[in-house]
Amino acid sequence: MKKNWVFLIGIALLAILPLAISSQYIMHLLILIAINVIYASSLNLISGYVGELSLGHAAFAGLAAYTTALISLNGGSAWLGLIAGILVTLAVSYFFGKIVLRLRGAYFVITSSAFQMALFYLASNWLSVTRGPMGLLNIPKVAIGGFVFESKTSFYFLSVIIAIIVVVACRRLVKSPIGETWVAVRENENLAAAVGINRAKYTRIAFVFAGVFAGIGGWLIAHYIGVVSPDNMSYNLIVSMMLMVVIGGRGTIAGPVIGAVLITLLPEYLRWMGNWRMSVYGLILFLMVIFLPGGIMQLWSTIKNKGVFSSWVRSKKEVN
Amino acid sequence: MVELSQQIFNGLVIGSVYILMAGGLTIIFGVMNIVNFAHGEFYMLGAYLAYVLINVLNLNFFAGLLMASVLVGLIGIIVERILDHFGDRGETEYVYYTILATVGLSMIIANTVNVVAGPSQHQIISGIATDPIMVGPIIVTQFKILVIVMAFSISAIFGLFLKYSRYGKAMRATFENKEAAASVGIKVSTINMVTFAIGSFLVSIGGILVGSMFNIYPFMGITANLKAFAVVILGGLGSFGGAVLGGIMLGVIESITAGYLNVGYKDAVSFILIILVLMFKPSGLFNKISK
Repeated sequence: MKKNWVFLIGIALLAILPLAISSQYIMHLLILIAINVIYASSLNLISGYVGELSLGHAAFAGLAAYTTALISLNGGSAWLGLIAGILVTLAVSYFFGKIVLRLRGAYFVITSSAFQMALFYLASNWLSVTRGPMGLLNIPKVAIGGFVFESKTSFYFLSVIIAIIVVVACRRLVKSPIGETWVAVRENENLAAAVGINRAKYTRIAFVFAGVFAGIGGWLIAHYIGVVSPDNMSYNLIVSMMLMVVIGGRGTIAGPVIGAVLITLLPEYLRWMGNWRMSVYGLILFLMVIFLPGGIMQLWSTIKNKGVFSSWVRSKKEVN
Repeated sequence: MVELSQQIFNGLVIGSVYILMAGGLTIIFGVMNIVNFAHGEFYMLGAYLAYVLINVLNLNFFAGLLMASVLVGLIGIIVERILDHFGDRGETEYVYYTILATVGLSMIIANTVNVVAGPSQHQIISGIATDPIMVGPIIVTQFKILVIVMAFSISAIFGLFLKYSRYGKAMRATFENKEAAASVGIKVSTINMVTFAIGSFLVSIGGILVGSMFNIYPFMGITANLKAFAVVILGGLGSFGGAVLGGIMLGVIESITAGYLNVGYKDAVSFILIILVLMFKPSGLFNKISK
């Protein structure tokens, strides 16, 4: 019950937020946060719950971005692009999941990375279709009837609503019997197999959902920025998705959301560092992995469990 | 036919570099179960150090090559000592976090070099003739022949070291079974250190050779590392002999693709190859024992 209230208040805040903000630049950051929440939450299904480090995740975002770009540049509507993008990512994640989920650990990581690199180089070199590194430009905006999602505020609502749907869907999935099998397999694969859990089947469900969600994120960014280039599925993109999941806390619902907010805003705060910024990101990732592998959510639960906060409150009361 | 043999020669040169890159990666994985995403950054660091030693400090090419690579080997030891701390986490956690840590490390190293040395490209001046010589119908250079000779002699020496020396045997034992190796008195942590140092040393030589043939730039390690992964998968993760065969194979396939199909597709080929190999023969093409 309590959680539902928090959730509803959160949604209400998100709904009135644009009224309080006049800066176009901040609206732009909020849209990016929403899209990154989609990316991070979807990656978290595989990397947090199933427990395999998927370095191919950016490829799904890129696939859907290219699909919708090609369709809407050739006269189709953005919604047709969305449907096609979902179908493409669904098919590709199903078949690729079938291959890659047979592999574990290092093999999974390298194969998923190879998948992303193969598509990246394909997009960079298939000039007749993708125009290579120049990218596809002037992708039309999303429109419903006569209404075009042209202004930042309207696109904010579109992306935030989709982000909320994705996060809620991830939560539903994780709490469902299917999600429980993921955790069971992650925690103890032999035991899970002994009680009759078919790892291949259930982890593939995670892979397909994650792929489709990432594709929806890719669709949003394509129509928001209006340009699709190989950068939409680059190594840097997957690294930043990974940072969000790890810094927030993998295997939790709130973690990737927190991570997405931080990693989207961090470059803005670190702007004064100039080019040192990327080194600092690396350092943050490196130190997090060593000292706080569970991310910010781990910090939060340690504080909660050790009762640092409540004992502090108690000591205050005693003083009074 | 002339064109094909020229492509094969070029492929052999590139393949020789791949051997040096992938050989290190594969033994580090074999012994320590670490997929080192910072491996390519050692390749880049070696090239930059050699550039400073050879071009700026005017050292002899071979002295610079050796010094730079020994330095990179020492840096490898430091990194190994840090990664060693992940040993007490569970096995899947270990694989996961060592990969993330090396991804972080690769970002730190590549971007720091980018800021300090600048993004522009340089070439290491080896002083060895790069004038074209005709050998039968194909065009070669002294330097390219040196690359092939060096890569093959280094891998032969390392292969013999693995097979006959005490350390080499201990490394293979650790690869087979860590607990059993420790129980017969092999110091696994020393083996890990030596492995990481040798792996970093090898990849650094690769970087220096590439830097003398083509260019060095701060982000040269990223693609190089992914290529090394491709080779390692072709040859079978953890198999040094596999890395040698896989390196040559990938070099030649890429060179032929670039020659007959399109230069742009040459990079995509290696990754498609990885996926195909993993689909049909995940233990690698040249690995008899599936591990």
